[in-house]
Amino acid sequence: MTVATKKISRVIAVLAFSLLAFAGSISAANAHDQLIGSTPKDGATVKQAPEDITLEFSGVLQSLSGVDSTVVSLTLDGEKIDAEAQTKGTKVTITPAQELANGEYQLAYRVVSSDGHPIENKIGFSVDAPQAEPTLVSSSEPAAPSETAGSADEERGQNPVQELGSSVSPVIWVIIGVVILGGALGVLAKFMRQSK
Amino acid sequence: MPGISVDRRALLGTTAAAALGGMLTGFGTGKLSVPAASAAEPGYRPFYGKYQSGILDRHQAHAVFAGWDLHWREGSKKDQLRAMLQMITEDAARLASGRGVLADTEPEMAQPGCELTLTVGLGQSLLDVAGHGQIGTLPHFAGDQLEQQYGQCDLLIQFCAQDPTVLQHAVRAVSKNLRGLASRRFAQTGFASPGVHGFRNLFGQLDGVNNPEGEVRAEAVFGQPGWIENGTTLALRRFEMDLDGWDEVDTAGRDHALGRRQADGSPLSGGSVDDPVDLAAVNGLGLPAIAANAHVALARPGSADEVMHRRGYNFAGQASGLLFASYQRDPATSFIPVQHRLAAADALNTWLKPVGSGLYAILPGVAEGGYLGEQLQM
Repeated sequence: MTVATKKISRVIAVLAFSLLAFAGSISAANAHDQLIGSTPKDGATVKQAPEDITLEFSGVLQSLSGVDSTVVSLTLDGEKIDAEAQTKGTKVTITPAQELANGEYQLAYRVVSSDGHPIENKIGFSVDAPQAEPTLVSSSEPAAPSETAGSADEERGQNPVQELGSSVSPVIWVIIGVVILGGALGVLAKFMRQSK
Repeated sequence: MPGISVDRRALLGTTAAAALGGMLTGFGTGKLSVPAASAAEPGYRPFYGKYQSGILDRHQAHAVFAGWDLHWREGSKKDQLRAMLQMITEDAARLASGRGVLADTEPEMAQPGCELTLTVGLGQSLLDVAGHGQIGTLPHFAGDQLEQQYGQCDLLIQFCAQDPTVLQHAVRAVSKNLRGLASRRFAQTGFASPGVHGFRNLFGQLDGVNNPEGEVRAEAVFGQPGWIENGTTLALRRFEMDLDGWDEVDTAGRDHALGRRQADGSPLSGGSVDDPVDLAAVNGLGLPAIAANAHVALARPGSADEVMHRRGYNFAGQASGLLFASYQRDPATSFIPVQHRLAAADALNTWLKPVGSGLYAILPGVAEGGYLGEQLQM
């Protein structure tokens, strides 16, 4: 073998090896747990302040004795809000210390999957509860059930518009429009990502 | 080697002068005596001095931690303990200077200069016999699965050297002379390749990055209050590592559990190995960069009183792991609270099994003609 062919074969070997290593790293990454759902959903606007937020993962999360490996950071317009996270099986339940006021929230989380791999990311959601009549939600008004359905509907950009009364100021309409547009874009982006 | 005793006397002179001149200037005997030692005989570390060698001085590559339980005969226990310590002192002084022990059957093995040190410690049981000193014993820590064979002994000698053959001869020679006086419970062999920032343990991590140096180290080990002047304590723990389980953990998981990057030892709160461990640092998501239960978050000294000097070794064989060895003036304010914190919550506990545990009173150093433990005034 000449020096040149030796070199070439070495390069090929290295290339093949790195390809293998790359493929290996992909499969390793795929083995880790992922966020498969949350309430509220990422990007959703809810009409009622949730008492707690839940994150659901594809596998059982690490919960060592004496420590919770899960950490979360809940913020409203960048301001941190105290919240307690509890990890059980595949679920994390985050309970804010106070009732969530209207606004845009970000929830950053880090969980550790059972294989020790940390998973961190964030979700965003908005709370847009009707201000004037906060107690009516629990009354016998038929609006209540449709409101809970609303969180799913609004991503399609239909119901919330009808549900809001004529008493709403035009500014709110603009905000709602932006939120709906954002939601729709989010859903679209999600679909595009999934179809890839 | 006739020249050595003269050189050692010269060495002793330097050490004593240094001691008079106010020795705690940041370096222990080891460092202060380095010029004298290397001028005299490279490859040998001083045996006589204010402190015992093998503590503040540079981590050698090989070690054996050997533990014995004493056999008592009729008569005064103090006399027996004193006689034993005198014999150990004689043996250690000869071995450290490259000579075989008395009646050594293979003195050739003692000759090569490989920085052999013998560091002698007593369990609380022997301090009780001597009637001097109180260090207590280590408490039970959460997760302990201790085995009798690695438990607390009466007597402990830490043998360290750069060469494993010379090292094993020293262990054998001392053990032979102790036969009849004591039975050896363990001889735990360890190895390490110390670099600028600690050494790689068998998890692959840089161990000892945050170890104190210079004056801080000397203060943590020999500062007051200690159990005796110029003495210290050694906490020896044996941790088996679940390396098969560790194989399953990817880099992100490993770094997360330790709080430092395996690659270069840099803390997750910084970019360089010299950066401090900053528990308040947050990442781009606003989450703590170092998890609250990461090893470094819990091991980090909360105050100057918690600082200890680690001088541990890897071990491999039927099981593999870490021979944790730390020197500290007062274990009650340093090793014990830190180990309780780690035992309760350290993310690395998943892959660690503590099987051995012991605490020893490390005797002050001696001048030529004296014997280890003479300060106990038995």
